[in-house]
Amino acid sequence: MKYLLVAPIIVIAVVISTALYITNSERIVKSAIKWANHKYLSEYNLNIDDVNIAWDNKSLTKKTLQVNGRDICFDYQGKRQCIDFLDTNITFNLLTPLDFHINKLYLVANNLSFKIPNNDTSKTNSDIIVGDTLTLTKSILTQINISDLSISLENITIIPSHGELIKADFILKNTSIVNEFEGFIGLSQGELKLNSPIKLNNSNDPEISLKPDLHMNDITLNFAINLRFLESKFSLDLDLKIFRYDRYLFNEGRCSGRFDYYAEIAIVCRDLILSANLKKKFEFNLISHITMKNSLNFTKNEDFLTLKIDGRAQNASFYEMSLNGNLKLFGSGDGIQYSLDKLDLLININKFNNLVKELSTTPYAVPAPLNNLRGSTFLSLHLDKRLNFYNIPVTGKLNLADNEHIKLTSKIDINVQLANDFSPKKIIGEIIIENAKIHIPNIDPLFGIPTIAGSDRITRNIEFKDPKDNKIEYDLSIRTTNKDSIKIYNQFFKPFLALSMNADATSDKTSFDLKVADGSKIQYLKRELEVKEIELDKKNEKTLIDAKFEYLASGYRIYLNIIGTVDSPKLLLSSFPSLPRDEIISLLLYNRRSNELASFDRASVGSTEDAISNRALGLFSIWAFASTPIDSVLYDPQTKTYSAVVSLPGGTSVSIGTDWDRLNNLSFRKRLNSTWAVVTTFEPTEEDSKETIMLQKEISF
Amino acid sequence: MGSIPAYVLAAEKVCDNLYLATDRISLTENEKKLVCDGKTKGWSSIPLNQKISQTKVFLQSRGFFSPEVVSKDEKVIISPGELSKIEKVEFLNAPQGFNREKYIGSIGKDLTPENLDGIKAWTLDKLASIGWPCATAEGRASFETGKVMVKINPKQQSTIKSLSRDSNTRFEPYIFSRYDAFELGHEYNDDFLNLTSQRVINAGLVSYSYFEHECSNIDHLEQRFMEKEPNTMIFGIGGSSEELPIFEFKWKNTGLDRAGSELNTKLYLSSIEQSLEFGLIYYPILMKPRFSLRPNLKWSRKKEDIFETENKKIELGIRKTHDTNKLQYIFEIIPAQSIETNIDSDLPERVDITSISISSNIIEHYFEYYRNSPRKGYSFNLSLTPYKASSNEFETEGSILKIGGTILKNYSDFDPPNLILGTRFFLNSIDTSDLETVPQQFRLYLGGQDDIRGFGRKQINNNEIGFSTTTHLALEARFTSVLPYMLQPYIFYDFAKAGLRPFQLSDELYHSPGIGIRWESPVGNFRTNIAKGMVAGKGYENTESYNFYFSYGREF
Repeated sequence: MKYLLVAPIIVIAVVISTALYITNSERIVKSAIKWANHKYLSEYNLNIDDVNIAWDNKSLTKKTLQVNGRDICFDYQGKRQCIDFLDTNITFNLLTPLDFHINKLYLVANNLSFKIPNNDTSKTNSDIIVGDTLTLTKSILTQINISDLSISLENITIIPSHGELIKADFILKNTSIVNEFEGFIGLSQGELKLNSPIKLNNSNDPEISLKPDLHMNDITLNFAINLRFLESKFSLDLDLKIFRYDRYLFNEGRCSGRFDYYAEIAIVCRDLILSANLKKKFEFNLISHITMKNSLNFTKNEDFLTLKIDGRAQNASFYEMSLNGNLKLFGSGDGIQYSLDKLDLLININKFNNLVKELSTTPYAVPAPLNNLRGSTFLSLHLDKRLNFYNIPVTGKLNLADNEHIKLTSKIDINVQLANDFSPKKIIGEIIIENAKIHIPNIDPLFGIPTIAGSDRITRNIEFKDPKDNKIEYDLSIRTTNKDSIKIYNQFFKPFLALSMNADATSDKTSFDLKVADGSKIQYLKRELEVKEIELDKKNEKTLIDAKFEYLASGYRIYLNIIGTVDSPKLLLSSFPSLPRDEIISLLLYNRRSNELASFDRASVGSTEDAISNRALGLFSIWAFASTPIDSVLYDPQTKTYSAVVSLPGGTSVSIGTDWDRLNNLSFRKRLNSTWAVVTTFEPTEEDSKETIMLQKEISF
Repeated sequence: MGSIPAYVLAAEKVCDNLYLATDRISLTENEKKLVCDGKTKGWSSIPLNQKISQTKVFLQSRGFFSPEVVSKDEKVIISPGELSKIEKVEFLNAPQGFNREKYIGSIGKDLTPENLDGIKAWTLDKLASIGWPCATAEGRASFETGKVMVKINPKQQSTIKSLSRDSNTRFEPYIFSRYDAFELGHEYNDDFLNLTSQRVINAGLVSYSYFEHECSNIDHLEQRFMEKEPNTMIFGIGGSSEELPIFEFKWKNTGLDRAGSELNTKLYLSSIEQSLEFGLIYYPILMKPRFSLRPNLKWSRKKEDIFETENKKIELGIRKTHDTNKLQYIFEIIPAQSIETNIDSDLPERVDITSISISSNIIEHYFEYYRNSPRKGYSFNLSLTPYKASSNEFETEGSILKIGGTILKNYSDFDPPNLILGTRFFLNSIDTSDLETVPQQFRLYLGGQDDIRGFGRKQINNNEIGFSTTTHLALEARFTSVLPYMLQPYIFYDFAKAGLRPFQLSDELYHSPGIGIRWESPVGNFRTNIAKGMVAGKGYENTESYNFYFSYGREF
């Protein structure tokens, strides 16, 4: 029995003695390390002979391993990689080998390269427990008890399984304070560049502090983040310094959260100041609540993060604005996705004139005459997951009727459809104009109509654009509530032109149907023309017009119907009682039937008829012909040019239409008044030719 | 801080705080109403950026596409930048025949939307003159290169297959076909339709005429008319290059019948000529509107430097015309009886003349179309006039043959033309036994604007007897684009020969180089030239001379 007891003791003693002998023998340990390297790590082709290994027996069980060397190279992921310098000193106890202590770690390596294996975490079904990660991180941090640390990893290349290369720099070393380390972390991937100082404290409540400076395209993000691993809670504090998007927006604010390691994560961001820098600064105060599950699974199509935003305009003297939205992140087979669950934006501009004033010196100044509108507007933008994330309903109400000279009351109800990249793809909706009143400057068309819009036909490079190139599709209808909802004031309209409008505009076709309220008349140079209806249809590049006017002359009711394209309109004439077209033109031009006209005036009627037939008259000219007292019209079919002489008050006259100089055919006959003309003739005769200039009076009967 | 550009300091105020840094451009009053704080209600203040962008649009309409904006001391100064000019015009998808003439009309002009419209209008006119009246065109331009591109959609080619005419006049509509410068079944040509309309208007039957054409019925034309009263009286006072003053009275009645026959009277009084004329143009067959009888009775008295004569004449012209799609033919036979009274002349005081003139003219339509501003085409004429003259001193007979023509060429076919080359010629010959017995109205002289411009009017006259044969060749080159204001210089060289026997010319050559200038004014064309008359060999008129001419209305 004794033998039975002694034998195992002897065996244990021998084993222990052997182990002690081995572990106390530096030569054997080093040989064992080299053997193990050769046996199990041969694929790495580590130059172990260049590594100095020292084994120090502090006590029977407490050992110290010291490894140092320069240019320690190994094969990894198909590439020969080298550590420039390594010097480490590790103390451990043979009885508790995992409870080691790194006394010293000096590591210098440049140009290391790693590939991240194609290990798609989203396809693993296992949950990621945030509490576990935090606890583990806390554990590692508390165990990193390196009294002498200096790590310098520069120009590290990380090759991800997808996307662009990541370049990284990492520096960490001890500070003068015990358990405190500081350093730098730098990352760049494509347009993304992130640099941040890092500070670690691995006391009982470990702490990580970062001050990242992030740039990506037009986005600049600068913030400070502090993570504290407390006894039973985790604490996060984020101090947002700058968030700048392009040159116009920037943020500042603070976020904080304190939660149990295994509880739902809740972060609250307050005093987020969102500023729109439009030369004038517009500020919004936002509160954001972020909640995140502790157990994350990126494959279950489950929401794992919810972002709730509540915002109010800051320092707004003339408007109220509130923003309320929910953003959710969820996992899917394609990685992390996000969806805007709800977004409500309410804008209430209670003093439109103050907005005008604020914007007046910015590129977004409200143009005249709209900048004289007074009153309030309300705009609501509502987005709900149930309505489809890419479909944003916008409703609004304009009540801008406080200025007696210009008014606009209107309702807006539209939907903005977004493309996958959130750019507006299609706008559908309806705008109802209840009351609009506008004055148009008194431009006298006889002296040339100014060009209002620039020409897209003359550009830096010649382009024949396909009208289908319009990126944003739209389908809008604009309607008025009453037959006199729109009132236009101008010298021509006495007292005003009252209209109702029914307009439908799509990307392919735009149609305007303007109906003029009874009694709306154009008065110009003592003529009066009643506007009945104006219809405009824009299809592709061409704008079709159908306008109806009525004119009373010598007891006849003359109807003018302008049809065709705006560039080349056609004038259809009819009358009651019915008259031939030349008689109608005679009445239009002279208020008399043609048998009462002098010969020259009849030629004018013929010229006008020819010009109308040839569509040589522009739209305005047709209108001008119909509404101005014409002295004479001269049309040259050879050059398709015309000239009309119009009497002005005070006895003067003005020539409208084409340039006089271009009228070739008229050069031999210039009319002076109704019957007198200067005529030049060239008469080849049998004997010799003769040219004359004559002042002629012609009488027809 | 860079230095302030000089234009900022020189900027001129447009209105309010808006300045324009150029004295070449000023905004119109209408334009200012859109950029300045005006009187219109609701436009009390216009934002600065609106003023700037609107002003830029105004500058674009003038050809300035690269303006610079500078703000200084609360002033906004806009410098228009460089003026863009049209350097080149290219046509895409042009149908065959379109490029026969090279368009240069806008080259060098300001690149403005208006001039782009002008190029488009020219394109459509050109297409309508070669059979594509329903074509469309779209113009685009680069302000950086000055290049203009016009994309053409010719659509459907048109052939005139049918024609209807208004019946709103007192005439049978078919009679207007006598003026047609086209034939059914041929290619549509807008120019020839305009020429037709002009012929109708000039004939005086109607006040106005034009053609209508619908693209939905592309091969059909409708001719429209504006009726005119049948009686027209014209009183005129004026002058010509050779006569001043002139008083003229005309009366015309076109209300004789449905064929458009015409009765006319003309009284003409000037220092050189006084005449009274009664005429009838009678179309006897309604359905043969191009055939006419033209009886005419005329009394005239003429006083030239080298002769003074009075003439009483009765004639009966018979005329037939014909038009193809390119040419007009005029055939005419005019038997005439006249009494010529010669005053202070070697000729007998009274000469009775019986003659019959047979003539033919061929005129290309484009020659007629551009008659007011000649540029291309040709016309030829041929006439033979046998006559018999008797007086108390002699009885004689003879015949006069006249062949002449004019050919014009637009050099390199530029449109508008750069250089017009012209040739004019004639050969006139009298076959008579005695030149001294040739009646005054048939005598052949040389000198003056009609033939050799270096000599005075009828200066080469063989001691006032005239020649049996005269011939003339004129070469002229007119430069239409070298000077501004429609001023067109021209050079010419005239040659002439004469002979005392039929179809025989003497050795002497009269030649006359000269230069001149033409102005297409709004009331007609003025021409002035100076030419040197020279004689090679011993001539009938040995004096070398310079001659200065000023003419109005006359063309080459």
